Amino acid sequence: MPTLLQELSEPVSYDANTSWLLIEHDNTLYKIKSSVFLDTLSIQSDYLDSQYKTLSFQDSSISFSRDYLLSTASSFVVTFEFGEKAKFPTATIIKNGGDNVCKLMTFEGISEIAIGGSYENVNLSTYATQDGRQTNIVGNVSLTQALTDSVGISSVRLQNISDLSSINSAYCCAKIQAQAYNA
Amino acid sequence: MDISSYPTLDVENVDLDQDLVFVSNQEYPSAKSVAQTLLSKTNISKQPSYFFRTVHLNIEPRQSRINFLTFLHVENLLSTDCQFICDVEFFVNLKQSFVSTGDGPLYDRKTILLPSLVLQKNFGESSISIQNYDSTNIIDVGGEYGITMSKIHYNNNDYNLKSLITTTVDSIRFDYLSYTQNQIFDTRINFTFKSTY
Repeated sequence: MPTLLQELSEPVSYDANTSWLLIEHDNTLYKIKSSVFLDTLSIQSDYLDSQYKTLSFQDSSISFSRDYLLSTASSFVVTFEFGEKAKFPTATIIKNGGDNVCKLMTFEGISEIAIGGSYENVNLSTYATQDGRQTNIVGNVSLTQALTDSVGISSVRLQNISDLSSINSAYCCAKIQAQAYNA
Repeated sequence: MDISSYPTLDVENVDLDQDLVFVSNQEYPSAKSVAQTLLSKTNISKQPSYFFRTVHLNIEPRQSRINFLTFLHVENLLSTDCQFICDVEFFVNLKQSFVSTGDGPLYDRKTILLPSLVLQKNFGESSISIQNYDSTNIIDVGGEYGITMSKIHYNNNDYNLKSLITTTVDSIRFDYLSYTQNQIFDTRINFTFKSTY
């Protein structure tokens, strides 16, 4: 192998559509178009899914399951959109590659949830009226590592903050977009 | 180095842990890596990263001189090799004294959502597209721009929610978040960024 090649640095970036990869395989130098190499071997793990559920004062649950969903190298965003006749505040969970903790953002702010743990009785959304009625949508957020990982909310229900409710039912439209390395 | 005569290799035959890969632009190899490292680097670097920011405007009217701001610093966030999309939601808790029966649906609701804002930038571009409730504007990275983020309508008046956006190649800053006419509504602003570099 020419010394020049051995001393090359690792690429910072390159255009896969115009670059060739020279591969030293069994002591022979071959070439492969970069885009073909990446298209063939790139992780086929993009995961998109959605669920719709009607909510009441009874417990309900919504979850998404996927191998390696909570692995260190995975990343995802899950949005829980709530509403009835109008749209209510959204709850969102994010995880980045390399992280072992997720973040949850609701109308109350941002909090952290460790993978493998759960965060109980979270105020996920709310609806209040000017005459003092307020009903929250509450639930337990869980990030479960098992044979198949899952992220979701359980015991989701309406919970009256005032004596009278502002709503008696609601919907949840949940969406996930994930990229899980080696999934 | 003329590579035109090199034999081709089926991708399935590459030993990801052993084979050494040289990246060649046109004719000359310019970098090397073990195949798995190159692949991992490419995939990981193309994974999106997610970020939250939140700010709560909740002080009383006529005390609005405090500079409400939120700030995101991420390496290369706005470089030409990066793309991102940012969804911004606005949740308002209206005081009853602010509304009247003439405001229609607002009169009953205490919790309302204002029209969303979306910011996005594509790979290869150095400008940001900002879409608010009625228009799309393009701003250049590196500048400072006043924007209208959203609006609320009550008592027969529109009150715009304004911000001064300042960007560098690594950061985006939302400064002087405020409503027109010095009005203040109890507002939670949630930013969700998805960036890919």
